[in-house]
Amino acid sequence: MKKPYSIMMTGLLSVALLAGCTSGNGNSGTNTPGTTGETNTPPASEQTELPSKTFTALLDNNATFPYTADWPIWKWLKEKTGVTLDVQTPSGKLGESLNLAIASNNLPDLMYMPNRRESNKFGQQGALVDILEYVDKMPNLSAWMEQYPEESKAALSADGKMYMFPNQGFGETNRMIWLYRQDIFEAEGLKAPATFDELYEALKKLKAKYPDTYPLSLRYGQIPDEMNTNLAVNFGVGEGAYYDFERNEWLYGPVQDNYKALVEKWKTFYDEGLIPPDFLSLQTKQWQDMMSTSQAFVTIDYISRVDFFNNAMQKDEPSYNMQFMPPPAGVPGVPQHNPYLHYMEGGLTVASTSKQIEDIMQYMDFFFSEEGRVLTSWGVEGETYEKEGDTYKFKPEFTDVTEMRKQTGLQTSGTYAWIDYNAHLSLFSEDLQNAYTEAAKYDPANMQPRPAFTEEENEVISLTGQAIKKHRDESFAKFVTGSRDLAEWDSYVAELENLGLQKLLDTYKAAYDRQQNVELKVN
Amino acid sequence: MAQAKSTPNMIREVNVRPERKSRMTRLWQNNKYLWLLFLPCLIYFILFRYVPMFGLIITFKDYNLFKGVWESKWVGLKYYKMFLENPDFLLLMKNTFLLGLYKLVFGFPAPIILALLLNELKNAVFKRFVQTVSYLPHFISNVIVASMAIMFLSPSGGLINNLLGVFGVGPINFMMKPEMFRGVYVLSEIWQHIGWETIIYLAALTAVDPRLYEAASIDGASRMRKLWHVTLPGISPAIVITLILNIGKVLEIGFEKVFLMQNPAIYETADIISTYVYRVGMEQGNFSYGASIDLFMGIISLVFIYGANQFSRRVSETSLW
Amino acid sequence: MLRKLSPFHLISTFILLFVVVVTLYPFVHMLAVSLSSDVHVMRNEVSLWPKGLNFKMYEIVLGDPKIWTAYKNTLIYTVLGTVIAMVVTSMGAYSLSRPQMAFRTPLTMLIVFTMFFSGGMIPTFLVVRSLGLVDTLWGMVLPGAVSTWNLILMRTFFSGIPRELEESGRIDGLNDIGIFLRIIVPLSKASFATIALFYAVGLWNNFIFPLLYLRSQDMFPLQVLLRNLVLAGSVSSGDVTRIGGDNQIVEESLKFATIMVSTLPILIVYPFIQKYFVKGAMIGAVKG
Repeated sequence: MKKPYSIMMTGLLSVALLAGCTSGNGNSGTNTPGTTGETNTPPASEQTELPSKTFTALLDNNATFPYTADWPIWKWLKEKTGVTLDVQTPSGKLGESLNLAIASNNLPDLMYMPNRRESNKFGQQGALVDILEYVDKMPNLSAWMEQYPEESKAALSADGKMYMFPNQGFGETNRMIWLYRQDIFEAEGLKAPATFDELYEALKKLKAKYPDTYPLSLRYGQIPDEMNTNLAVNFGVGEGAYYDFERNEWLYGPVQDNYKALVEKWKTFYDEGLIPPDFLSLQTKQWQDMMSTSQAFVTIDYISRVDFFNNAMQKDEPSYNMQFMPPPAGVPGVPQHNPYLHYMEGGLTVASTSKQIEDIMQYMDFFFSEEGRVLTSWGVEGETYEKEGDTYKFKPEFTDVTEMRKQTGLQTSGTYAWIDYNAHLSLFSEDLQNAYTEAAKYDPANMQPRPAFTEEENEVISLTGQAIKKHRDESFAKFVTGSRDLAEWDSYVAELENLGLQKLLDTYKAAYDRQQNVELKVN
Repeated sequence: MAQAKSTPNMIREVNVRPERKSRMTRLWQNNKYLWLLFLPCLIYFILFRYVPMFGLIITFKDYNLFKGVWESKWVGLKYYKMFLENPDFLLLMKNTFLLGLYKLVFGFPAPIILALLLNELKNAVFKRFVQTVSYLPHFISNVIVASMAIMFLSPSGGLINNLLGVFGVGPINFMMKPEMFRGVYVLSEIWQHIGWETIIYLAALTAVDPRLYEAASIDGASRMRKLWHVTLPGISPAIVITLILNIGKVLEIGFEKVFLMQNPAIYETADIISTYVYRVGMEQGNFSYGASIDLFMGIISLVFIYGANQFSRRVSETSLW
Repeated sequence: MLRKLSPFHLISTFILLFVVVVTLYPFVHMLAVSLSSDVHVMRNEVSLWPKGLNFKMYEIVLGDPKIWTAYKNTLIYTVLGTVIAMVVTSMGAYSLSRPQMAFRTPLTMLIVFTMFFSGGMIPTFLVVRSLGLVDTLWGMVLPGAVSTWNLILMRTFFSGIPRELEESGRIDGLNDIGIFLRIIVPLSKASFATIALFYAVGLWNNFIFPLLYLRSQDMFPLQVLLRNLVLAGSVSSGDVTRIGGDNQIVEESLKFATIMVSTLPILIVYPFIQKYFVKGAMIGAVKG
């Protein structure tokens, strides 16, 4: 891939020349023309000394692999782009550090933001650069955007600008699936259920055999939105406002008939002791204990739990076998689907007050090239991975993903945008790899649209939306526990409508239509 | 004529001069050392508390972090209206108030009683031991405390329900019953803070003159009478002041613990203003809205503390001001 | 006096023992879990005693080189901050406690007012920043120099000191400052110890100031380092985004080990200052 590389080189060198010419305003580390022989080097194909630049960056810090400047990834990035990052990590939560940086008007060149809502908000306030303005000088990103139009559109704000760099690949880690104890099921002669009715029968059998257990256990209270989404999708609807691709309209899941079926089913589970009675307040630790000590056999959680449980439990209990379970269909006619959760909302943004915007754009362009993708996924050939034909393989000292990330700094905050997820898959157990392959079979045909909202729209969503959401959640709890009679379903629907349901749906529709009409300007 | 009167007048003038001295100078003479002592404190409050109050203006603006407070758009009472017109407003106020009230009624006397019990202990070693141990929970973060409380109360294997089971009482789903929330919350607060809050009363108890106890003993007073006539009056300033301060804080319930302990099944008692603000704020990161609510609640709290202070002035010798 | 086992004694001892059990149990449990192997913790087998005793978690926590810098920072901030706070607060509290102080009432009202109204996190940050205190030691110890609550409490203590002492000081020719330093302070050991403890604990546990005012990692105190660890995997960590599978579940034992490491030092301060809680500190002064 020589061509984009040499274009980039020319770009970098000319920018360096230009930057060197301007009187020193914050271009730390840029070479002025004539000081070294670098600017005179012809933009040839071989790797020459790149002009070194330093950008300040605010990146997130994950306690499991805490930031260190000694990570190899920084060295590799410098080799390829000449850029060193002067990194700040949050002294508390990332969100607060962002607020303070922006309020003090002292913005680092690059800032990692946890989601598009934040980047769109700050971008529209004037703090961030619109990346689309520079995309004509970013060949890799332009090509990438053509390859991934949906992901690119999702990164746009309500005013059609792009304030955050899009990403692809790493979202896979966010997949949620149904999991079950295959060993227990087999021992009882049960097979993986394909519908909720079959699930019910299986759970009843297990409860009869093990009366002190709650066969289906969820961390419902801890991640309610995710849980709601999973269950709703199983029943063919969304947990809130969702886009129905067949009817081409925005609907509200919790007033649909299928949702009522979901509530009824869940209530049955509750009444018959198939789920823990305190499922709404169950702590993560309690749920973990239940799953490890065979107090529960079926659950919904992040896909990585396959290895999480198996690795821990199989040491002492070799028969323990937690496996992927295909999502059961809620009612006949609804396909067996898991929700489309495997996307990532976070990414890097560029400060509008930065003095090195063009350099930064060049730097970021690298991440969207094939070379960048390989580097940020696998590292360096010979150092971290070997190539066997067309397959990449990590060196054996990287025993698992956490170790790999801890030692190299790969896939940590600010070090990637476009990832080859095979890098992770290759380090997973066979069971987990199998889970990924299987999970892909049950993906819905389309990703739910995530349109960006204007400030007024955001207000509607936060006020009306919250009021509706609260009532939905309260009613769900009351219906399931029996404090409210399911016969009152129609009143419940009316109550939600009175809280402004139509207004909410109209807001989503307006934002969505606007997003659909945007032409992604490429080149 | 002036000269004729001069000598007697001069004597008179010399005597008169101190009274003609301006009030300001006298004020200064009497108070300069006290004001000097107060000076660092004054500087602190001006710099770190009053100067930042310019920020209160964001409650009337649509705060744009990047542009800053002054450049942000003026919206007047928009956010106050938003808050008051919220359909849940009354419910949230009620929940906040009741939770604070329960905490005050049950949580305020608890450390006083514990301090008094400790005070009666003769065995110094046991006393120290109990004191030190009882304040340990204060150091456990809210996250852990909430998590522990929920786990203890779990109907599927929690400690409390196991104990109840011994007495034949069926498992109670504590965390999902709205009527139980206030009790659970207040008990967790008492458990977490009772030991720590005794410290101030123990310190106050050391200032009670032991001779008063001796005198009471000579008069044949029982333990209870001594408590009533010597101990409690002795620490009453500490009690009264702390009470007034707590009344002022009754609406200020820390959001974190309530948020961690609430779930949709108990919103009708467990959703309070700060948790509501957190959930709504999540969507927008809207500082102005949160700040308006804080200001509103601050005004109400001020009314409470003013009332408490006035009452205290009439009824006792101690008051905040 | 005969050691009778009165009903009062019985009930009192029973209540106190109950308090001990109820407050000690969670701590002992956390200590046990922090010293147990992960399999046993997963299986919920640990209650009061460690199972599969190992110090792995402590090795992880204490093995991080940053932690010793963090400890040092915390110590400096706590000690310096407490000293500054005690000086400013005690002087302010004493002056406010004298009924003859002019403008005492309006000043007190203005101070109490700040308990209910605050400019907010960002304006305070901007003020501190304009004072040049961001990312400095002073930024950590000055913004917390006075806590209104502690100020009022200390004022209450000072109010309780008998007037005769102040008058005897005046007779000896001392001005207010002299009275404060030579008479009041030596007599107020219990209140100084108490308020100092409050400030020290507040400073030790404080994570708001570092969050707002620190930027360089080598100035971070203990709480910043460890709080992130404990919060990882907990819902209330405030980061709204679904971090999902990327968010490694932090082991319970690690969480508890970090709690032990961060709170044990400050816990043991109180037993040492208990000696100041001596009854009858005043009598000697009045008599003599």
